[in-house]
Amino acid sequence: MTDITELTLSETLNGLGSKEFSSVEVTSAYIKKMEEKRHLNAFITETPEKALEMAKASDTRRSKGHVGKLEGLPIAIKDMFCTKGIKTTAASRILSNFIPPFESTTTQKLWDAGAVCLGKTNTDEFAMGSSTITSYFGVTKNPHNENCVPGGSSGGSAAAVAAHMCAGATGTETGGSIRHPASFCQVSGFKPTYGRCSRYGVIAYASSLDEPGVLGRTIKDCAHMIEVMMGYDPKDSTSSRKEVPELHKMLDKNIKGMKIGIPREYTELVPSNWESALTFLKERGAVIVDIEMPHTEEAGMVYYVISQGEATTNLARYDGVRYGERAPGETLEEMYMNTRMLGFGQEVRNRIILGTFFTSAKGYYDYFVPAQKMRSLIKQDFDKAFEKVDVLFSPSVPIRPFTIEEAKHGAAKGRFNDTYLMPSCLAGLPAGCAHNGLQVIGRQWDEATVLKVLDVVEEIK
Amino acid sequence: MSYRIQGETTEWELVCGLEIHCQIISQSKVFSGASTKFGGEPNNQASFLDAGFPGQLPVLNEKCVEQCIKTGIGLNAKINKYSVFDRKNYFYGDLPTGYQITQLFHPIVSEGYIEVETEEGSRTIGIERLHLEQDAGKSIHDMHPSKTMLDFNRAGVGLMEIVSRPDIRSPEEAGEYLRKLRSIVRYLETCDGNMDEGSMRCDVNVSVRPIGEGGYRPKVEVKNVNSVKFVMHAIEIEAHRQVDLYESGNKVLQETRLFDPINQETRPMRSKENALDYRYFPDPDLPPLILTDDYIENIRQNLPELPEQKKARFMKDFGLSAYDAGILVSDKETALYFEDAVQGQDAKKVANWIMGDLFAALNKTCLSISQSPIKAKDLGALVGMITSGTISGKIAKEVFEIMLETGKSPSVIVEEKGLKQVTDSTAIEGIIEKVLQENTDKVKEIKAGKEKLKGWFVGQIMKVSQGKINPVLANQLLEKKLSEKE
Repeated sequence: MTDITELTLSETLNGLGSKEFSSVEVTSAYIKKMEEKRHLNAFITETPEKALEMAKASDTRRSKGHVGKLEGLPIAIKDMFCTKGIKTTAASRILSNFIPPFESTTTQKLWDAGAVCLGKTNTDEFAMGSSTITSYFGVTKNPHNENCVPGGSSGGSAAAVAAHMCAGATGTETGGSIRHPASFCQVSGFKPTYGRCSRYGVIAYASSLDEPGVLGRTIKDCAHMIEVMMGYDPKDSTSSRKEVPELHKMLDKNIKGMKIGIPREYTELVPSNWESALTFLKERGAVIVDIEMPHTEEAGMVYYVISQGEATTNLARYDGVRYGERAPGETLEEMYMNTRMLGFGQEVRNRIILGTFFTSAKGYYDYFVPAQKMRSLIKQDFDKAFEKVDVLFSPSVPIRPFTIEEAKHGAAKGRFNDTYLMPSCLAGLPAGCAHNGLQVIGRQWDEATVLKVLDVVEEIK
Repeated sequence: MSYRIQGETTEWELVCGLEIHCQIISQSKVFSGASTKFGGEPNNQASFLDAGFPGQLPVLNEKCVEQCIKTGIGLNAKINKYSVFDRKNYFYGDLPTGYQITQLFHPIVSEGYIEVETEEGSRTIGIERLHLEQDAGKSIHDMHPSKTMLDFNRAGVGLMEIVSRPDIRSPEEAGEYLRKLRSIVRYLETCDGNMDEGSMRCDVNVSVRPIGEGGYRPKVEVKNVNSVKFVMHAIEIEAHRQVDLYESGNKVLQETRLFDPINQETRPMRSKENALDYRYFPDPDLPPLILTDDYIENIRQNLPELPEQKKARFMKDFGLSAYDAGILVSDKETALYFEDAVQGQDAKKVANWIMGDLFAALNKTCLSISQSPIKAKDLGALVGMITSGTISGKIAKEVFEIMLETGKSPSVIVEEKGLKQVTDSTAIEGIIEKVLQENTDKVKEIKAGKEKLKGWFVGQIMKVSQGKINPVLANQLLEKKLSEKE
């Protein structure tokens, strides 16, 4: 038999369906691959026993005719999702001993659909970064070049998918944290509209931006997973009641007559396959439209002010009082300071300090309020664009993965690292990229069209 | 006379406003499903959200919104169809998330007022806002010599913070305002108003200014003054402290102080210079709260009767004086008691029994009217027995005492003790005959013109009958008997 881990998630589903192999066999193969590739440090916590137990249960269900949408599929979970009884750290020392007594809504939906949990993947600490180098649990290596970072913050998930250590993985985006590592690791990544996936049980970084999403080997794989994760959750007040379509069935490869906008501002730097990509889409019948997105340049600053402002208060709860690591002190204040100095890494502390400034009595009016206004203008750019076109198309990260050394010296702060990713996060729109690093952004709630176009884009070399 | 503080150089006026936190009556907390019940084991009513766990999200409890709207209507205030939740950021052991969810920029209720009765007549105290927020947990410092214990059962309970305008001009007005507010929330059942249990808590803002001076001088916030009496005391003490400072050429610092009821003083807590920056900003976990006109109107239509309305009705329907009606409605339980007791009875008499004998008896035993051993219906029945002549007013007092002790109904007591007024004239005549025969000498004296002795005979007759004879009837029959003797 061929190596099962070489199959895509969709192919594995078919194999399980035709009884070519069992979930225990698939899971065992992935566990073996996780061991082989452990040096990549894609996982913070591996859960092989739990995985086999879940796989057995899945096989039993299947034998009784109960087959969920992801029945028997072994997947990996970014360590930002709380998993009941499984250590969940946000890659931070402050949560290094935290075992949640509850399950996040989106992971619960995955388990309910029959998926099997292989473990928890590495990330930048509290998902703050785009290199996966700020993790308390060490750097994750890019499977395609181990001197390079996998991107981030969902770098562990991207590396695990790229190295075939799982059939698919969850990620979270706040400012591009799925598409960025997907691009660096040459896998597919997708996040739906803000409000589609419940944030309940997802450790918060910046609440108005955080969105759960997925990473997979193909767009179809992503569609399979995300349609399970989406849907209304009464536990999240920002969750949408919109019906969820069966996304994986809507990928019909037909983009004839579709209007695809190219934001001028997103083509300042393009990868070498860019021109041929446009030609390809035209050949498939799409109409290419030139689009202006005048507020793109501002997105980075707006993102930093809002995300850090929100992060400051979201991270205030990590005080060593009720759970997590505590460093003692003579007074309550000293205990707070010692705990937070010890528990948070430098990048997180930097962002907390900046965020405190942005939300201070003065900073609020000088920075936070203007940033909120600019965020509305950025959204308007998209609204205007979608009056003319069905989707937007551009490179995702137009630069090559940087080395771990470069990352340590601030490479991730460079221009173009996340310039093309942040505006769609601020606007809360569905967006994804294919393994070739090309991205598609769609209208609010229109995940189907984005995935459909991406499914075609995927064919571009 | 208005309230004035006489300084050495000038007369001073008080400027005062109250910030009152009312715990909302609701089954569950404002953003979590945990119960709000008071008293259980520590931390057994705290959800993961209340304990500030990662990944937990707030979901607004509609009941709390409804309670705020009700209260807002009761305060003659504007209900805002658009309100927003903000995070107020500070670190403290009993604040599990490091921020309190509150409403700074857009409160749910604004611009109301309360009318209070003072010696100088009715005054209007403006209400700036009522906003919805969550309570913190409790720090317990005295359970362990070196450790502080934390109880999160209270964390996340819904609070209405009601902020008055600086319209209060005397400690008495502050007391009246607080009593009136408490009465309103109790009528509406939006807060139980129990200050001693902390379900209603009061911070007092105090400043003074010379009579005639416009504008406001720096104010001092006196924290956690938790009874009407203490609020009045604290204001008095703080106002005098400020006058003394100004009169001696000093300044009043804008600061937060604590009231110490034992030493009768206020002490500094923290000054505004090193005051916390709470870094308010809209909570991204909660969308703005949008209310429709229909929703608000529906609540308005179903609002229970408020004290002012009840007072007017008592005066109209029962012919009570403004004074009596005012006393009866000042407390919801008393009003309910009255309404229960008055069914089919003489309202004025019922009111008198409640405000007289019952209040005195309850006062003596430190019971509230809802704990009264005498049920409202029974008190009504007692009044009914007097009206119908079944018992005399004098016997009624006796019956009342027994009711107080035993909780029995008056009819049972009257039956058991045989206290029923004798109205059968043959029986009464028998007693009179007996008394007359035993005192033939005195009868003779009457015949001789000593009319005064008739009163003595009535007394004797009452004594023999143990007060059960209607004295009017006894008089009539005595006259009749005496005339027969001629």
